[in-house]
This record gives sequence, C-alpha cells and structure tokens, in this order.
Amino acid sequence: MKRRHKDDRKRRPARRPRRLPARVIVVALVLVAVAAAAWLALRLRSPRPTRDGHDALTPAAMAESTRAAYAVKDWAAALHWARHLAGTDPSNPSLGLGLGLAWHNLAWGGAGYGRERTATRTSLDRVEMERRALALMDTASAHARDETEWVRSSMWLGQTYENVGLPLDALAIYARVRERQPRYGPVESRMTWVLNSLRDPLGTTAAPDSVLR
Amino acid sequence: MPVPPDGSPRPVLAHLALALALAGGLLAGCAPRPAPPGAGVAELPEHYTHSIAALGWPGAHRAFQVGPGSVVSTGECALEWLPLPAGDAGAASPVWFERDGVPVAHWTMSGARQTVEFEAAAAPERALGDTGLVLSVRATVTWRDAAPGTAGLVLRVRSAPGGPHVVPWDAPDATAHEEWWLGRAAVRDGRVVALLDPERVLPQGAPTMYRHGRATGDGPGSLRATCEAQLSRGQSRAWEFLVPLYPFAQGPGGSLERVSHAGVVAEARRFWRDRLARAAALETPDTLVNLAWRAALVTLVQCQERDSGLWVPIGSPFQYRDVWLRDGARVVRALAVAGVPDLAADDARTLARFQLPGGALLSQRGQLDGTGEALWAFAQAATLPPAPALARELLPTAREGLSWIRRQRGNTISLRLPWAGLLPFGEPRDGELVRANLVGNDAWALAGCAAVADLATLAGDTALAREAREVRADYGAAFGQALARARHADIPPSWQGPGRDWGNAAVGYPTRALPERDPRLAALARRLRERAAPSGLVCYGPDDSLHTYLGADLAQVSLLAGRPAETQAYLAGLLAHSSSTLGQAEIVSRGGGFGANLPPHATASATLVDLLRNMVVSDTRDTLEVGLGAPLAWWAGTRLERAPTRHGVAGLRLERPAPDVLRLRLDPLAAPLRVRVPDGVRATAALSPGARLAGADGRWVEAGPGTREVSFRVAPEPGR
Repeated sequence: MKRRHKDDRKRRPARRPRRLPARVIVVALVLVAVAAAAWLALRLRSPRPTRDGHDALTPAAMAESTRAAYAVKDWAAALHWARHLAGTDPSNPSLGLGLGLAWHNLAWGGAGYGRERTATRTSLDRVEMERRALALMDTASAHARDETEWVRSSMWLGQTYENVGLPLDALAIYARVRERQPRYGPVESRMTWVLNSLRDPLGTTAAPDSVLR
Repeated sequence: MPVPPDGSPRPVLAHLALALALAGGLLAGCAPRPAPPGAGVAELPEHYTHSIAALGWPGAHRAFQVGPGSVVSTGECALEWLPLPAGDAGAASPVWFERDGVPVAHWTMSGARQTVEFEAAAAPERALGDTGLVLSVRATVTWRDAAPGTAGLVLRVRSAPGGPHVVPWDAPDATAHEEWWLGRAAVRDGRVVALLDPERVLPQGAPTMYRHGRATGDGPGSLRATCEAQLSRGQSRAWEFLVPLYPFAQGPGGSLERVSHAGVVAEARRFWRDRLARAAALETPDTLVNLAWRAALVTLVQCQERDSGLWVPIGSPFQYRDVWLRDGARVVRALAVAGVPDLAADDARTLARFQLPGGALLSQRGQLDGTGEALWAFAQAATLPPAPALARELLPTAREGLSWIRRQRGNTISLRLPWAGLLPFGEPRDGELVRANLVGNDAWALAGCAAVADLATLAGDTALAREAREVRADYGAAFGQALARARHADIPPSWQGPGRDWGNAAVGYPTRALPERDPRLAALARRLRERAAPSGLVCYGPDDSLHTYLGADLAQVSLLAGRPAETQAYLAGLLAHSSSTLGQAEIVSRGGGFGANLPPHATASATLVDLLRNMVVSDTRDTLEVGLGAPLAWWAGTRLERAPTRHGVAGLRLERPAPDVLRLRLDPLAAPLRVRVPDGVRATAALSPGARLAGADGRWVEAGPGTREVSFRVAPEPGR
C-alpha cells in the first residue's frame, strides 16, 4: 500500500509575521546546541549498527532463532532468520533447504482468506512463496553434498507437493528417492501413504503399513 | 453549504489523471468536460433482508459499503445518519444506483415531517494515495410538515454498520478508540476518518484534541454532530460529508479540503460511463435485464486489483479480496465476451502466474480444477476476438499445463489406480467439500485440453494443436467410461459418488465434457432445480441455501439443448434474488438472508454476463447462433453492440418489423449463421436471400457466412 500525503502547508492562510523576542531565540539556540552535542556523544560512543542488525550473530545463533520462531509458529520470523542464515553460506544446500521450508511454512501457515493472514493476503502471494520453496528445495537436492542431504531435500520436495495437493507429483519425487536409496525406510512408508490415498481417497485414515506394491 | 461549481478545473483534472493511471491509460484522449448530470435513480426492489451496495474502483484494495440502513462504511469506520426531528421515524430505503448503471448510490430516509435524500459516490483522490478513494455523501433534507420546523440530521461515527459487514484484511485490530473533533474532521486514534460539512453543529462537551472521547465495539462512540436548519414546507437544505477509504493523519480538513461532492460524483459518472460505453452494449425491451448487464460489468471492473503491473481478478469487493482460479477464469470469460479485452488479457496473464514447476496451475491447495480453468481462460482471452499475439504469449504456460494433465493421466494408468486415465483425487476444501476423484476436475481438464488446441491453432503451432486434440479425445473417452462405471442417475460430484454438487454442474457448459443433449445433463439439472423450486435457481448444500451462480452452467446447457424456457426461468430467478443494485450474494436463504457473505459476487456477475450474451449470440458451437435464449418479446428491439465472438466483433439487432416477420441484422462475420426462432412462434418462410428454413419444425433459420440480414415469416406455434 503506497499512500502519499499532500503537503498542504502552501494552502494555509498566510499569517501576519510576528517578531520573536531575543530571549526566546537565545534559549532555542542553546537547546539545539545541547541536543546536537548529546546526539554526537551517543553516536561516537556506540558502534554504528549494521544494516540489518544481524551481521554480528553467528550462524548457530541464527539457527537457534529460526528454531525458536518455528516453536511458536511465527512463520514470518522463521523466514526472516532462515533467510539470514542462508545468506551466511549461499552454497550450503542444507541452509537453502531450510529457507525453502521457511517459505513453504509461511505460505501454508498463513492459510485462509481472513484477516489473520495479512502476510499472505492473496493466493498470488502464496503461490509465489510455494514456487520459491519448490525451487529452493530442488536446488538443494541438485547441489547436495552427500546422499543424506539429497534424500532430505528430495523428501521435503515431495512433502511440499503433497501439501499443496499434488499427490502424483509428490509420488514421482518419492519414487526417485526409492530408486536411488532403496534402503531408506521413510520413503517407503510415505509412498504407501500416498498410494493408499490415491487408491481410496475417501478412507481418510489409510494405514501407512498396508503397503500396496 | 455552498457547492463549488460543477467540474471546477483542478479537482477534475486531478481525478482524471489518477483515473487514467488506474485504467492503464485507456482513457487517453479524455479532456475535462462539464460534469455530467445523473441519469436518474433506478429504484428497484430489494430482495435481500439487508440492502447493501459496494462503491469501489479498479485498483483500490477496499470498497465502501453502503447500507444496511443509512450508513456508509470503510470496514474500519462508519458514518450513520439519523433524522433530527424527534419522533420522525426515518426508515431508510434500499440503496439504488443510477439508471445508466453508474454506481452512484442513492437512498432516502422518509419520516412524517421531513424526507432526506442521500447521494454517495466514490472516486480516487490523489492526496490519499494510489489505492485510496474518497467517498462523498450529500444529504438533502426537504421539510414536509405544514408548520415550519427544525429540519436536519444527526450524524454518528461508528466502528461498523449495525448489520452485516466485513472488516477489511488490512484494518487495525483495535476494538477501542480514542476520538475527537478537529475542525471539520472526525479523528480516531490520531487519524482523520471523516470530514463533515462546515456548518455542522457539535454538542456541548464534544470531544476535542485536549479531551478525548472513547469508543468501544461496533456501535457509535462519542463523535456525534447535528446538521439543522429552520425550513418551511417544500424547502430543502443539503449537507456534505467526506470519508477517506483509509484514515489519514492530517490537520483539520487536511488534504481533502478542496474535494467537492460535485467533483467526486462527476468523476464517478465520467469514469463509469466511459467504461460502460467502451464495453459491449446490450439493450433489450426488458430494462431490468439491461440494468443487470451494466451492474454486472460494474462489479467485474470494480473487482480488479493490481499486482506486478497486471490487473488481478478478485472474488468480491468485500470479503473475497483474493484470487481463485475457478472464479478468475469466469471473470476472464465475461470480460472477453463483454468487450473489455484489456482487463480480460491482463487477468489471463495473472492466472498464468499460478503455474507451479510441474506445470499445474493452482490457486488453493487441493483444487485441481485450476489447471483446466486457467487454460480455458487463456483461450477465452485470446480468441474473443482472435488475438494471435496473446495466444503466442500464453502458449508456453498452456503447453506446460497440458503436459501436466497428460502426465497425471499417464500416472493414474501406470499405477493402476481405480479411476485410471483421469486426474487423481483432489481435496478442495470448498465446492464439493470432499476428498475424492472429482468429476468437475476432469471436466475442467478436458476443457483445458481443448483450449490448448485452440490457442496453439491461433498461435500457429500445429503440432501442439494436434497433440492437445489427441489428449482431449483420449481423455474424453476415459471420462465417458468413468461416467458409465459410476452408475449414477445423472452426474455425480465425485467418481466415488460423495460430495456436494459443484464441478459436476460444469460438465455440459462451459467444459463441454459431455454433449449438451446428453440425458444425464438434463437429469442433473432437473435434480438440482427441483430442490430449489420454485426459485429458478439451484441449492448448494442445504435446501435453504440458494446459490446464485451454480445453476448458470445448467442454464447454458438448456440454451444449447434447445430448452430456452429453462434458461429464462433461471434468469428470472436470479433477478428475483438480486439486490436493489442488481448485485448477487453468492448464497441466499429463501428468506433473503446472506449472512456475512455480502453481495455483490464477481462470479455471479461473470456468469450473468456470459449467459445474457449467449442468449443473444453464441459461438459455443461451430456456427454463430443468434437468439438461442431470446424470448419473442426481445425480438421487438434488442441490440448488442461491440460484442466479441470467435469469428470477430459483431453488432446485431433483433427486430420485428411486422407482427408476422422477425428480422436479424448483423455485422457480417465469416461463419455460418443459425437463428433460433423464439418459442411461441415457428418460422414458415425465409424472406432474405440466402436464408433457408432448417428442419421441419420451423425452429431454425440458417444462412451462410457474411450474412447481413435474415428475415423470416413466423406464425403462432400450434397449441399456443
């Protein structure tokens, strides 16, 4: 929302100029000088703050802040910290994945069109967040430094597709994980869950154990 | 209060400049003119329990709510007027707009001793920012009593109207307010919420900036003023009030000091008349229908925000300020057929922004109909009339969407899912309200495939067009097999059966997943209409919930299937369940209540525009069909001008030059022509060269491409 306010000083009726007493002028000048000196002293004593105020924090502290924000479901704060954390090491796939999750959580956690979700007022906002989340997770998966990182990124990518309501897109991702890491157990149960839902969407409590191969 | 001369140069220029910016430069060429007079007030009955109207503007992020009662509201603050003379009842009339469709609101408060006429209009005001508006209200009191007396009004500042209202998404959460008067300004929490007429009178002890008043809850607080005058019978006096859409921090009067009521009203009339004048014009002998067309267009234009340089179709001026692909697609279609191509194209581009990496287009999680709807909307914007450049622009998104549909179908086959060859389950949390394989999702995906074929053809990509047609054909066969397997008496909401009727109502039109004469479509329409009888509409969920646009697609099917009486019944039902400004609430109880789901609803407006247009001219099938739903009375003089079709922009007239002769005159188009002879008569002879009767029942007259006129003789239908 951009709001501009007209400067209406020019439209005020012109007043007859009045001369200020000399004593008032002197007092005013003294006050200005004192204020300027105080401001200068404070400025010289304290270090100049960094632009975002977080440069002095360690990545561990940022990660802790991210966790704290998640704990209280403050999705906007979580994104804020995840962003700064990812900025400390942009090539780190895990941090990129964390940022992707933060975007997804903000889009997801701010659901509904009521007043409570001004951070994601329209679906355009939300879909843009989801797109970023998917892109970051995909990138994290592509740049994974080891299999653990790759599996984690891919699983979250699949989970995000599931969450937005695209089960077959999710299943395709899980299938890739199973193909590359056949002994990774969680992917099997996730695929089972999705497959059961696909076969019987009305059975809302499809048991993850009833594997349909 | 002395009113500045209408059209004083500076405000008018300022308003016009902002309007130009908001309208994307489409008003270029307009110059300040004398303020146009009002066209008169369209005093229509109110069919709802509360009379509410929206005064908005494209590009604004809120709208003013007028009503219920003599109240205007921004959603976070309201002004309420009460009659001054003690014991004068002063019940408020419904809210009305003007006869030419311009959304300048009028209502009255009539008592035994005085009558008050209100006029309210909203327009942009540069000083309030690029998404801000100002509402100006003029209250004119006329004294009716034989004995002279003190006439006037009491004004109260409230937090919200007493009846249904919506708190906007960006309103502060505060429920208690500090308030005071500052000159003309009513100030709440340090911001100006209204400017009153300079001649208002404040009561003794009224709050000042040194001694604040306090307001809590929705009702009136401590800000109260009176406007009074000694009047004799027949004498009038007017007072004016300004309300900014967003409170602003200013001194007394501040940036609205120079805004005049006449200027705001003039700007509103100029803008909306210009908008309506450039859209397709529909005039029938039924003035209510004509007004409904214009009211719907106004709603569709009002329900536009801007984002990233594009227009964005939103669901309603109040509670649905968000985008749903299922609603936005309908708006694109309506704007396209109504000859508003700039908004239609922009809205289509906005819908393209909903594409996810896999190709699906999704606005709300689990709503898998979005892909088909978006693709269909692209084709509407690009083919009405044909716009190859837009088709080329949208084609990459459409290609990805088609690819996603094809992949989904392939996966349901390879995984041997129970409903193979169709889309997987959806969980829309809306519409069908069930997690299941939804018939409507597949119907829309089918429409999406056909739309990609149309777009690709227009863009010159024959390979993609062929591929899309092949997918459509194969998918259509799977759809038919699924329908046979579902063993439902008509068409179920989900392939499994459960769910509320929603997407299944779109299976015949506009998706054309089933041919219009399929008996299951007629059975579905019968089942839904019977539950809502005798309203003419259909129910959504409980029998007491009449839905204003869910039945529109079935009414379109009736048109195509040659049962125009059903379409006309739906139209009559819709108009009988519309507000006094011809807006429609989404869902209405049989008693006329709409709860917090306030009118107007953009999708109801969109489907109304589409239906009226198709009743006069339809290009749904491969010929241009005229008069599919026009009753005989409309042949006494119906005019549709500047109407885009797939075959070009057309103007046409339905005339009855003699009691036994009907005549169609139209701009020639390169498409074969079919004229539907209205019920009540049958054609006995074609009178124009090149025209011929089709069939033995005298129901159709045909002519070749390029035809300018079709006249035919009619006789009363036997048995009528």
